[in-house]
Amino acid sequence: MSEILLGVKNLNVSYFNTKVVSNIYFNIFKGETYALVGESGCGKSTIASSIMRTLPEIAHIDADSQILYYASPHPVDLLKVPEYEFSNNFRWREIAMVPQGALNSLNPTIRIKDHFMETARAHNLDKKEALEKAWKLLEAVKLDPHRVLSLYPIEMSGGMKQRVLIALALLLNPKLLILDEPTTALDVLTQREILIMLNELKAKYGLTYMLISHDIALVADIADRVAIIYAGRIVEESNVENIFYNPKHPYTIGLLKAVLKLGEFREPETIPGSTPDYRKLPPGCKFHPRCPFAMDICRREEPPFIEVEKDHFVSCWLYAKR
Amino acid sequence: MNWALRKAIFSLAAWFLAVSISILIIVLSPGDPALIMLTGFLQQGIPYDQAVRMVQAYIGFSPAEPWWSKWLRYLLGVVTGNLGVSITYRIPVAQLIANAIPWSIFFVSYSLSLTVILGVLIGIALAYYRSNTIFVRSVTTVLTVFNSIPNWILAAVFFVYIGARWQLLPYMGPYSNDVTPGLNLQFIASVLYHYTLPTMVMVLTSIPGWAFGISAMASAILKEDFITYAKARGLPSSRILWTYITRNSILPIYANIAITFTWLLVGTVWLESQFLLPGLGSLLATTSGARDYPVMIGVYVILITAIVLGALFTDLTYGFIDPRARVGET
Repeated sequence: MSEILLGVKNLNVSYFNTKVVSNIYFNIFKGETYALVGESGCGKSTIASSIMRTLPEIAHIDADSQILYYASPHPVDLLKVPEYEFSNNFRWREIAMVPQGALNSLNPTIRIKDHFMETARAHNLDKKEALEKAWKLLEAVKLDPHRVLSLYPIEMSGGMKQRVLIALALLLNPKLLILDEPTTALDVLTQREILIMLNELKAKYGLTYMLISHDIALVADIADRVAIIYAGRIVEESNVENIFYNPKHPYTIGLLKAVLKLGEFREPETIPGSTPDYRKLPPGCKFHPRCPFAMDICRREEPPFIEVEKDHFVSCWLYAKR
Repeated sequence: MNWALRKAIFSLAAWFLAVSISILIIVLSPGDPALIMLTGFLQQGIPYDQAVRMVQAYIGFSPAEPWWSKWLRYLLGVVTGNLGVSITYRIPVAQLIANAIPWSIFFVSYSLSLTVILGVLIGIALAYYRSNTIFVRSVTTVLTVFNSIPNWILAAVFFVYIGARWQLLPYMGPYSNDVTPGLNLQFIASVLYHYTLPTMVMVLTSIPGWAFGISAMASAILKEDFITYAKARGLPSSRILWTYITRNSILPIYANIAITFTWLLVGTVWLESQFLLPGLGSLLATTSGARDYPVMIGVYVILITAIVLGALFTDLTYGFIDPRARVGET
């Protein structure tokens, strides 16, 4: 786990004049599962859309933002390559995604086979080859290809659709797979099956995962490294053990307290206050209005990103050397 | 196929019920044409018994006959294709309707197919290019104007200006006098040429409804997850536009097409009378004025038949365009 696959540097995204993703830096190493965790609306899906270049037209990415992809000998800035080049060389060939909202991500009027074939055609993949590949992938996600290929989305359960989407994502042998809330809206047993399958696929096809989730349990299960995002900023980043057993940022601590362990009988704690309004973010640390440890400096200045121990970074004044 | 059979039987029952009810209503309503005729004879000083016999002979209709008997006799006639004799024209109703119906069907299918095709295209364009405010605003303004003009006013305006005053297009009659009706090229060309103006009126005034409906539908479809996901997969925009947006947007209006079609069969009265065109609408208009009940009932029977068949057709074919509505297949 030393080779970088994707490096996001100083990513800033705004909608109209409202900044929703601010100053994001992170690296994803080959073969790992990197998780972006945060509440709904914290900007994690915007980060994924920036990588896939599917942001709506009203979104604006600052000129000095970089998303470096390290597949070829030289890193390529995905934000700078022309659209056709991105489409031909990167989209779905190098980076693919399993979208949020599995239940509604397939066209209700065409068959599963058509979904595979249209994707293949869009990327100039030979028809016969594509069908064989689709067949193999559907088997890999434990579906019966013969039956599933001729089905319409309406004829499948949520779990089946999620498997189809995973198979579809792997059609062009991508190296990086973005999983956007891969198990939301699925029942617990199906969630488990999907997780086990994701782990198998990762080993089988040598994949790297970027996981986007608000589901702490899921993250604890499959992530190697975790970034906690608050108000479009990474507030803490470390390996999964540090995040869960030695959390530093008050927001991370709050998030973990909100989750109950099996057999634990207590009121789950919530973080007081609500997610911030991006149009009027507070000065200083964006979390200070909800933070139990807020100090004077938190209200005035944004905290630096501090390495509290090896590979464990926190953006909080509590840990700054003063 | 069992399902289709059940649908067909249900349609037959619906047809029978609708025809029976409309006959009952007309038969039970005041203003019996036979009675009118009878009064007329009596006023001429003809003795009552003789007048009744004359009426009976004249229209084959007996005012003394109980209502249920009339009703059964009429239904029997309908099933055997005998719709009675017109009081004003003195020829079989079936023949009158048979003369009118091809014109109605031609006019309605011609203008409706143009309307639907153009309406869908405009509606999809409105939704797809919604970020282009100039385009959206100008098209919406034009559509709103045409949407608020009743078709008979536009018909009158076109009749007077494009037709009578500037002589740009024919504005009277279904074809010119110098062609012989039949399956020849001159006749077809002449009919299409003569129907240009009425069709323009019809299409212009009914496009906005379709375009706005489709546009609202497509705007909702555009926000669906499967559109975002299709873009993420790198599908070309033509594929997204046709297979994803258009195909999903027209589903809800498909059921509307057959209903609008049957409704328009008589809904074109104003256009037909303005441009002196033959058709069910103008037939119904003239015979209603003369209280020619056999013709009126006959037209209603034909309409009910068309509505039931249209609904059955929509039901049976909906599955072809929307897999979600498919039955008996997994």
